[in-house]
Amino acid sequence: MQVYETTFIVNPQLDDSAIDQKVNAVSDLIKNHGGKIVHTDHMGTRRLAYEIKGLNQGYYGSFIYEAQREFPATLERYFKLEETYLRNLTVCYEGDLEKLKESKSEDAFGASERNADKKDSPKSEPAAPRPEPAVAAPAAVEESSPGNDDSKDDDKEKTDEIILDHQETAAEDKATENPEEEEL
Amino acid sequence: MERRNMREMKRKKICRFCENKISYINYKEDRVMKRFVNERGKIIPRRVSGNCAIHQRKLTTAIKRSRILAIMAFESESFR
Repeated sequence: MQVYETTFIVNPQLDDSAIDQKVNAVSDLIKNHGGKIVHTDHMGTRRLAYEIKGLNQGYYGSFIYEAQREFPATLERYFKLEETYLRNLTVCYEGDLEKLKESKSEDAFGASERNADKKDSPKSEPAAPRPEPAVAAPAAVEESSPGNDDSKDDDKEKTDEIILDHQETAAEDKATENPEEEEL
Repeated sequence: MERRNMREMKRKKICRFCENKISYINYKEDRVMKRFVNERGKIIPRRVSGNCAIHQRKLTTAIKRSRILAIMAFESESFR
């Protein structure tokens, strides 16, 4: 068994139940092939960085799961046959699995979590760029354990530091030493 | 002489990922990756950003994955 992470984009023009069904189809496929879902991390509807099939938005779904080594090929074939999936990516998961297992978001709550995601995520509010903090707020969603939240907050602080640091130095860098690659 | 002075004055750059002890760069977090990309969407070389080799490699992989998923752009339109 190997831990994989699959992220896919579903056409957002479908209605909610159809999107749900498409997401569940993936999780069912994982389970039917003897896989075990460790974590669901749906990002909800968000803007695409570039147009795909004439669409500017997409519904992002994501699963982290254990599966046999033959499974990703099966999954890929499935994605290829279904036209409602705009993009998909399966990678070996490299992050800290222990942190994820603490939070244990089982897919029994996947649907409600997903809907909560969907309300909050469409990037209208710049204050909450990541869906996680918003997801923790609604009372219906109980599956975000405090342990995981802490770690995520830690990460967030760290990344904020990175961002701040970088902004300072980026200006210097530009002034000093990248004359040639900027104009390519 | 002047040249040597310049070299000495140059500040040593520190890898920001090492500094904050980040081991895994998530390809779904565009907030982090955006900082290491120029206006055009190109990955900034580590000679400029100051990342260490290990983290630059991880960052590059993450950015390329996010481009496949349309989280980050291959090429930005806002250029020009």
